[in-house]
Amino acid sequence: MLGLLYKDYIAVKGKYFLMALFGQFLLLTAIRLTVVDEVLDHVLPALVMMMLCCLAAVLPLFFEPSLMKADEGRKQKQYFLSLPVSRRQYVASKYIFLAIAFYIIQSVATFEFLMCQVNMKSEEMTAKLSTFQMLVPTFIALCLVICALELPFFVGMGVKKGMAAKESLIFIVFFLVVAYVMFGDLSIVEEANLMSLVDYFMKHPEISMSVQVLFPIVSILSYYISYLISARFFEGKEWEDE
Amino acid sequence: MNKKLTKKRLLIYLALSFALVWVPMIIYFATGGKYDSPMMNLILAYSMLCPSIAVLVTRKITKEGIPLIGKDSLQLGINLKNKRWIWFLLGFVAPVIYWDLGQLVFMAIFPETYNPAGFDAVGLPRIALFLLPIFGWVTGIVGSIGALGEEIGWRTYLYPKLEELMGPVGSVIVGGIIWGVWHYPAILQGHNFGTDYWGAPWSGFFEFTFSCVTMGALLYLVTKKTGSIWLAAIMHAVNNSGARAFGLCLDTEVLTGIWAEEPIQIFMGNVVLNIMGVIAIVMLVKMKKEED
Repeated sequence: MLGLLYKDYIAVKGKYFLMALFGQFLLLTAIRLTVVDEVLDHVLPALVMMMLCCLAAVLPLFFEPSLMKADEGRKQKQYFLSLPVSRRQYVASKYIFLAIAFYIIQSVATFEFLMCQVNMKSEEMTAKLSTFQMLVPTFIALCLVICALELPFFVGMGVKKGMAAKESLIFIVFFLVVAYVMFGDLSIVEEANLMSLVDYFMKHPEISMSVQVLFPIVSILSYYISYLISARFFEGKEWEDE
Repeated sequence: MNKKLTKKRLLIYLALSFALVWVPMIIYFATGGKYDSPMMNLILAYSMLCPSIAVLVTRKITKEGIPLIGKDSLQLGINLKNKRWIWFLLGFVAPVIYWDLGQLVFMAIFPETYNPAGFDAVGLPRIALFLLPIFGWVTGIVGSIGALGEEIGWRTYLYPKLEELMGPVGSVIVGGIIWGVWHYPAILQGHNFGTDYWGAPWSGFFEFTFSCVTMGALLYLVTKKTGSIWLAAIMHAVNNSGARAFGLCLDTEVLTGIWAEEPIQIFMGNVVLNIMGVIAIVMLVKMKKEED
């Protein structure tokens, strides 16, 4: 299993992923050293932080094709027979690999927000930053759900069909957005911004707490169900060279 | 078993894990740094990673290797087979038992401390009382990296090495004391107890070290039973998250005399934890006998 995880790390060029995360630390340090204190105690650095964390959280979604492509090709049946793990364990390794990637992103984000809080002078901004910090696990949970939706296609049908499923999902979301813009109530969108969302969560701790509890639980559950479906698909799969 | 080599490895590990934490903390406080500040939060978060950094460096320089899973490793794997899942389940419930039951015992001894208005003051509906333990677990898992950093150092390296040298009881007691002492610079500045309490800082040192011995026993037991560091890391993170449902209904301001002192209150609230810690020590001794 450990060997498979290492192989996946090489396949997705994990070194660059870790370097990108480390680069965020360097960027934060550079901001701290170059930007004046008045700017640091503004909402802007917090927003930059939030964007960086969200960008990092999206990265594992791009790993899926590389993860499967590395094992695709001719003689697949022989390849899987030669592995010292069962087909179910092979599928588990893919899910574990992505879960580790999300865990690393969350952990890095925790430290980045602590670094950012050091710069904050007012208590109000520190409180707002804490609420931002709370939104990051929620966003990562959302990415985990997307992974849970896409992975069965990649595992069960291969990279080509998996990509088609991924693109279909993006198109569906795109058309839903277009449909909402055309027919929906746009006043909500006009009034909504990230700061008002933060203020809303600060005013309603019960909703904030429910979001923090429910989102990760739902995402982990859906991820596990997705694994079960993928494992079932994969165990019953017949290879082209069979 | 080469006891001399084990001692050497332990000394290197301890020197590193103490130096990496104590030196920056002493410099911070000596230059006028305050405990209650975002900078201190960052230092505390960094400190939690230091025991695992010390393990990696020690293993590297003493040519011990850095295995991730299996015996004498960082124990990063998770295996639910051989009824280990039962321990994971018990581990998930344990913090609710020792914290919330501990608070209930406290309220049973001092009924005047029960104040449901404290819960309303937080601005949460009463139903959230049931969500709090789950909230503790979720935030624990999400922010478990710090606790993982500590647990890799203490439970997968210090305790097993001490067990090699002095058996399970010695390992838990000496390991707990070391773990407690490691926190002293922070406690001196207000960690957990503040600075203005009876017998400060010695009563705080004693109470914290005592808790470390019992908590350490419990965490070491679950690490040995599951063969994985994750449960101990998450339990540690849940402890740090402070999500205790009945703690919100507990008004210790009404207490007077010696009972109004923070270390005494924490000691009383930890009664259930301490009992569980003693049970853990007994189980560790039994396990050791079975292994031998």
